Amino acid sequence: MRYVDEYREPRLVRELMDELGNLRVPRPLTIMEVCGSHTMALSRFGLRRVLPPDVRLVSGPGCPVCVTPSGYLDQAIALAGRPEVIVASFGDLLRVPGSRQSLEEARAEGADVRVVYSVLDALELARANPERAVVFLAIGFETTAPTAAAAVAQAEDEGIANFYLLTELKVMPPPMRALLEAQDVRVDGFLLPGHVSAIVGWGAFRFLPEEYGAACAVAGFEPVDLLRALAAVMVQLTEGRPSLANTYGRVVTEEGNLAAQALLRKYFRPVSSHWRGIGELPASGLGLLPGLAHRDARTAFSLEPAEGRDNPACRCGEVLRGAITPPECPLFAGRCTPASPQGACMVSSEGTCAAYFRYERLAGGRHPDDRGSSAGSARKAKEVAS
Amino acid sequence: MCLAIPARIEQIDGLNAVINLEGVRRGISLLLCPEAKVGEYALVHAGFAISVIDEEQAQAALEPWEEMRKLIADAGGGGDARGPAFGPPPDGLPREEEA
Repeated sequence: MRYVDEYREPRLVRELMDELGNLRVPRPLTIMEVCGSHTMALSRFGLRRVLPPDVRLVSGPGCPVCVTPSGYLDQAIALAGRPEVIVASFGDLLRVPGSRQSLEEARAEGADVRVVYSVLDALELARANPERAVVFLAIGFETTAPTAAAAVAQAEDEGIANFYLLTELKVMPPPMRALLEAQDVRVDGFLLPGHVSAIVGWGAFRFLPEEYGAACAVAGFEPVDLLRALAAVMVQLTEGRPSLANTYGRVVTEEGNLAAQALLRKYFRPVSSHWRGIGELPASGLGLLPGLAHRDARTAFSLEPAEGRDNPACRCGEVLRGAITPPECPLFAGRCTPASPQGACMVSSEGTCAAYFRYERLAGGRHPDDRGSSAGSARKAKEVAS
Repeated sequence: MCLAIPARIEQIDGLNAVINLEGVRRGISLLLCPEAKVGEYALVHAGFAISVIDEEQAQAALEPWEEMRKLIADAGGGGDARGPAFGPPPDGLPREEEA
């Protein structure tokens, strides 16, 4: 596949892995990736284990499914139970546990829940079922939010009255600020989310080196991209020059996608939003403008705010803050597995726990908290590359 | 969740396009990428093109380590965090606090 295979070319990957392994850092460093797709790619390509021993890679709150509070699921399930409603959702939300059940379990009991690949498919459902109310579960970051705005624009233009959003859209900068200011996890550098940056532009993350002295690189999603971004962050840290390197230039520019940003401003406004594991953060979400209340499922169906309860033993919140890694959670790979997930980070296809369960356990991750042997894993990572 | 795939644009009709993904043809929207042209590669996310792939930058990312190290230094703007690479912030997302 063009613009994918070239960045998986074994010779170049091996060269970058060797170079990265040789970089010496002045002190133990923590680098955080804040995108669930990065979390999964880093584990899938075995890249966590090629870093020098004193560089630790932790995952941040970058999987929109994982950070979605269970109260939102409860509201979606309540809606799906109404005969006049069709709930349309991305697939990876279906198995996330709400307080009592998941959307998938609600569907099994007769609720009309349909999986869509795109919000445009949800719009199609609304056209095809004028007598029903179609509610799209609009979760996601700045990458996905413009697609929800585009669907509202189309519904307004075509006068599709039976199309609604239940919004839980979030933006990345506020939780990154919150994590840096909370300082319960010391983060020296960030791999910045490649596709969020395609929309908002790398300029939107300038505050990280400027205000917090964090070394940053916008990263793509293939091995060569991830290794280059990791190298960029480590070169900045070894030379004591935190700044922001755009190593995903084929997709990301400084100003980003202006058409998408214009749509976001036209239909959404910043709202306070609850992040699992972090809490309520002002202006960290995007909600429909007041003039579009007729598109907002919370007002149109006068939904009760739902508090939501999580399994108290589940430590997804700490995983999402990078405070612990999945193996440090007592439920991990025992009671909590992809087959019987106890928390969102295991059920989501891009959750940190799902990534660790699938790729880090068998190879014996090098991470100090992993129980696996580290020697075997570095060799395995090299085999993966050859 | 932010998964997006590069795909070649084969046809354009207004703000709708047809892409070819390893032989599978599929309709997408160009509402977020009106400048995309037939023959170009776009990054497709959840049914929408969100960016047109810059071929020159795509090649630069395949440079061996030595050139890459220089690229990283330049891209980082050199100097301290306020180095020349940092211009005024773009007028991005709605910034004002929730009313």
